[in-house]
Amino acid sequence: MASVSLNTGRLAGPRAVSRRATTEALLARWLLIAITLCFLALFLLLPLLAVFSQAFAAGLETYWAALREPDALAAVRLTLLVAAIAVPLNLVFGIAASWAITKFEFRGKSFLITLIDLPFSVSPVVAGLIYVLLFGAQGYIGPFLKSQGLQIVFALPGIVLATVFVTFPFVARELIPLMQQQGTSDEEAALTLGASGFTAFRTVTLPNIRWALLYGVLLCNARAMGEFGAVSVVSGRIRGMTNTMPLQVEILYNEYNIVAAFAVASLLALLALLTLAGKSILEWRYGDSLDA
Amino acid sequence: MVTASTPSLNAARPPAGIRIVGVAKDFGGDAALRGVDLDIAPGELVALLGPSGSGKTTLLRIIAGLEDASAGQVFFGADDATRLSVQERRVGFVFQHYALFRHMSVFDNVAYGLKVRPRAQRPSKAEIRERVLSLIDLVQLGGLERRYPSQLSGGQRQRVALARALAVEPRVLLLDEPFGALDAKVRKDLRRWLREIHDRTGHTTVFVTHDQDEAMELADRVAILNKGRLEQVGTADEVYEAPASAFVMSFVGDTVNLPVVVRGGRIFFGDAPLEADVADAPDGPAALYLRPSNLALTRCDEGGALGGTVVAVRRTANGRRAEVLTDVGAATVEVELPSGKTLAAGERVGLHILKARLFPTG
Ligand SMILES: Nc1ncnc2c1ncn2[C@@H]1O[C@H](COP(=O)(O)OP(=O)(O)OP(=O)(O)O)[C@@H](O)[C@H]1O
Ligand SMILES: [Mg+2]
Repeated sequence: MASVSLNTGRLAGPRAVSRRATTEALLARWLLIAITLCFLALFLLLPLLAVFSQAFAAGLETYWAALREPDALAAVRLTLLVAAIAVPLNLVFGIAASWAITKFEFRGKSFLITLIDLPFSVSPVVAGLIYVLLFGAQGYIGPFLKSQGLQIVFALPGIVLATVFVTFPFVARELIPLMQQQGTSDEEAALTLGASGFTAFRTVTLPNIRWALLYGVLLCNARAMGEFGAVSVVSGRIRGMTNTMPLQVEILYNEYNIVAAFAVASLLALLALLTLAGKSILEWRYGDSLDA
Repeated sequence: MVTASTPSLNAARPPAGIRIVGVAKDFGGDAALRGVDLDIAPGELVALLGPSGSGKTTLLRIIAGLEDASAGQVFFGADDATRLSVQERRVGFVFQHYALFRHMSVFDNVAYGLKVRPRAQRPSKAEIRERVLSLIDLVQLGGLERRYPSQLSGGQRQRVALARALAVEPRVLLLDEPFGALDAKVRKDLRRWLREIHDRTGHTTVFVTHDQDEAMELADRVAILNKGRLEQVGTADEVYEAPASAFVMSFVGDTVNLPVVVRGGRIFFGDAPLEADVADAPDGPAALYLRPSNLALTRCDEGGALGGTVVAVRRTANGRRAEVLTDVGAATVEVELPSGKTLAAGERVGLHILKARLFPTG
């Protein structure tokens, strides 16, 4: 460096500057990458490894036993069931909302967009409390529903409601920018060619948004299975009945049943990893189809 | 050119004319269309010409049924199209930005309108295939039917869009600035080619453009739209030679415009009377419009000529032009130079007005 900056030749000036600029950029690049990697390792990778190592700490036998325990199995079943109901609902809601927002002009549109973001800004615990307030035994419509034989809070419907609320924005948030960018002329072309509205949706809109849609569904699913706050308020945490996997993990942990807690946690982490892998594959495909 | 003309490419029945009666459109704020009346004969090719924002797209979308008119009616032949849905109108619509289905091959794009028909009206697979391939041939894209839109050039995409619109045997063909996004050379080629296709298929066609050359070269008649109103409808010669308004005059070709005053049937520019052959005009201020080719150069001292000084000589795509600053009125006037004539800046010249049109102002 020093020899270069001492060189006062006519060509050396700009060259020296650019050399220094790139050296600095190189340094900054490596530094940033190093910091990011350390951070990721420390805060993301290590805990993940810890989960699995703790889960298998007492051997494979114990691990399996912890997972085959009836309460754990019930929690797994409930989590999958809740996700299986909440994700399709939000798939439909999400498409409907993004369709309305991007293809039609109407009053109160920006309010609707803000509303879609509400679950992101409201604490899940608050969301859960709202449902208890509405549907609980002392709530506004809870007693009426109870007299009709409908139990919402501390039962499956409440858990599904809370999960739907919390995971609502994922699909819509993914679709709105894409559909806004794509505009309406493809659909209009389909209509002029004689396609009905639904046919146009099925054959033109859906294929145009398919990757973004899948991506949104995966994120929605990951959150639906992992939701803790809102579900913990509305579920009542009845073992073997209204405990989802995250709740089950916490209970086991509080009972110092560390191995079992981590066994269930590892299963949850595994589901998350699968989702992540699916997302990466899609991103790779998705980027491809965007280029095309 | 493709010579074998299959009957299926021609409009299934004699083409319908389009009659637009008092169509207005209000988007809540400004009116986009203010009472447009237009009759389009069966098989005619009409260009809708107008500056940006004049309502061309809006009118085309109302004809297609993609937009509802605030007032007025559209007839296809004898049918009141205003009562028909987009699908029932059976229009072929070509969008400015193609709007091809990006996840479908060229073949599937063109076949789309046939494949979505109700089962009873849907042609058989073999018929669809034959029809689509002959359309792809018609638009000179034979061999590219497996490609995806992203693998085609802009001009090729627009031809696919046209083939797709033609596949449904539309009653009318509507094109919204179909060549707007293409370069000048491709535009010219596609223009001729579109005219040929039109002459072979015989569809009633409305074609939107803001390019006057394109409109005049391509269309049987040109409809000129300004701020939501039709200013004039006529053949290219009519709108060029006998423009109905100052707007039309200045929009369909280069013009020079001189602020003049009419007094007792004579035209005064500054203090000097002008010898210009114009029909009887009412007294008062007016604008004298003329084309660069309607001026003849003479010597500066000739009687009746407008004296001036050459400011610059420029080369254009069509010839050479001199910019002349007039002695009276100090107006800059463009004159077309006969080939071989040379002029230098600073030279004194006289101008003879061969032909001009007078439009009262104020
Ligand atoms: N959906 C809409 N909402 C509100 N105003 C609109 C809408 N579509 C068009 N307009 C207005 O109507 C007027 C005419 O628009 P239009 O698109 O028909 O113009 P155009 O002649 O096609 O212009 P261009 O050559 O730029 O395409 C414009 O002032 C435009 O702002
Ligand atoms: Mg337009």
